[in-house]
Amino acid sequence: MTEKALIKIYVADSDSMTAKTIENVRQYCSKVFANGYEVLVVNVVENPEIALKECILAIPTIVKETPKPSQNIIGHVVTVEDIENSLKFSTVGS
Amino acid sequence: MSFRNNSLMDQTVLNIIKTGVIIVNTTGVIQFINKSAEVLFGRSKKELLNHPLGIPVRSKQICEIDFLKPDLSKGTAEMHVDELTWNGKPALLIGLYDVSERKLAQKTLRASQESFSSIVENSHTGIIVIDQKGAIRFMNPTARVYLEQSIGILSELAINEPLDELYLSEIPITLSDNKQGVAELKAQQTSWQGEPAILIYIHDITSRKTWEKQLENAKTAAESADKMKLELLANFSHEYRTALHSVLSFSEFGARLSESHADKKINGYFEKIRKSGLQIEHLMGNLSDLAELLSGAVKLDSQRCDLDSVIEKCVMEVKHLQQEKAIVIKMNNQVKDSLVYCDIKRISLVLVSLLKNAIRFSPEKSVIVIKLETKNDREENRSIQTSIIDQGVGIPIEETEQIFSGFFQSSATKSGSGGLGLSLAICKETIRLHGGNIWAYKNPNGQGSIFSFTLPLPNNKD
Repeated sequence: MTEKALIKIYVADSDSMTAKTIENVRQYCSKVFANGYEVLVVNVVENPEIALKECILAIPTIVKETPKPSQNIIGHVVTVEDIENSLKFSTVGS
Repeated sequence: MSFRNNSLMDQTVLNIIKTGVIIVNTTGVIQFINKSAEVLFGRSKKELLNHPLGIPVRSKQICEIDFLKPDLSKGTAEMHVDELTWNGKPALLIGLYDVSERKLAQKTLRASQESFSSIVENSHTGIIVIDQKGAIRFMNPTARVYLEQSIGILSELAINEPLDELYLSEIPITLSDNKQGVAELKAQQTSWQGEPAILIYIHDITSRKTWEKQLENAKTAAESADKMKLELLANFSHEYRTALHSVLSFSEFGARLSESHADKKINGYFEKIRKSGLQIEHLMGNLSDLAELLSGAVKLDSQRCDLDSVIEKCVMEVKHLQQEKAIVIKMNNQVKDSLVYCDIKRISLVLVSLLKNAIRFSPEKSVIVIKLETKNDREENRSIQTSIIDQGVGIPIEETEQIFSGFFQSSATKSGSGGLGLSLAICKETIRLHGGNIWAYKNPNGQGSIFSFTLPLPNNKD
């Protein structure tokens, strides 16, 4: 795994819950992606065309674009473990 | 938990419940969606089935999630996630409970609370709520500064119950620059979180108090200056009269001596000096009387007397003037008992002054009426009113107040001889000292003026 991880977070507000989610995603990334990572925060209210193009239905949506396979998580992340649990489930069936 | 997608019963149940239900596979792709979830997303089942939604966050706490509708409006739901088997494969069941309206209401409420609390927090009035035991339940920053050194005042308020409708007092406060100030404290009953409490406002009145103090000082200074002026005037007129006395005496000697020498011209000069001197003496007398009255140095020598007979004596005193102009003076006594309590000498002076004025400004062969009547302002405030009604030139309405102020002569009577100004001011002060009133007005039933004054009647028990 040599490529840099790219995580996109689609948000709508700048409230405390959103801030906490972004913070948790960063923490998760720094824990998991040893080769570095980039977190891109996209405000769907300011950029509705991106939201429509990417077919974003839920906010927040966290998209792990790289490394492949691409995975989506929806909902506010209260703890770092929440991300781990969600992604763990996602790999069960694949 | 296990569902089969061909179970008609299961799908019917899921479609009629209010909670949005979505089933996603392990890659987050929507496998099933019920009616309520379609409404939440603002999209049809056709659009949503097989759409990659994402893996819901699996939190132990209730998790909230927003939905972006095609028109870009937002809805909010509480999300519950559970694992299940769907068509024999592991899947996730997402329950969505719509809380959009609640969220909006909370947001509006929060905004309104924030506005109110900002008003209270930034107010220059100190605001405090204490409970009935005197414990502080709320205090804004201004109140905190004001009561920095006098917080004990609050517990006294709680003890002093039951509190009146509005409790008012003045308290010492600490100002923001640490100086001492004064505040007005208002307290009223209120309720706080369902319990009776006391709402207290503290309003800084330090600068108002300073102004009041300065005003008070200025007033005292003005009053003392006024008193000094009157004392000076009294002393001054006394000195003048002494000197005047010499002028009068020597002019008399001179007149007598020149008469014996049959020097008519010189005799005439001396007579003129004496007449002018007498006039000055009269004016100086009035001036010193008024100064004495105004300075508050006069003590009344009051006694019971019959006002009717006092008036009779005064009429006698002006008889020669009355006869000169062939004027008739009539008494109109409507009082059964005209006993009053007054300083006879001073009231006589008032009466003579008013009578002389009336005669002076009345045409020849006219009538002057003296009317006595009882007045009842209030039950406990009875008085006798004396009115002197003449048929003279009358006083213009706009001057009826000024004529009593001293050094003033009515424009209607200016042509007459001087002296009126001071004598009316003396009358006013004398009547005021007796606790009565004096006023003048143009006779509404014809020409001439009416001068009236009241003297309070003694109480029945006296």
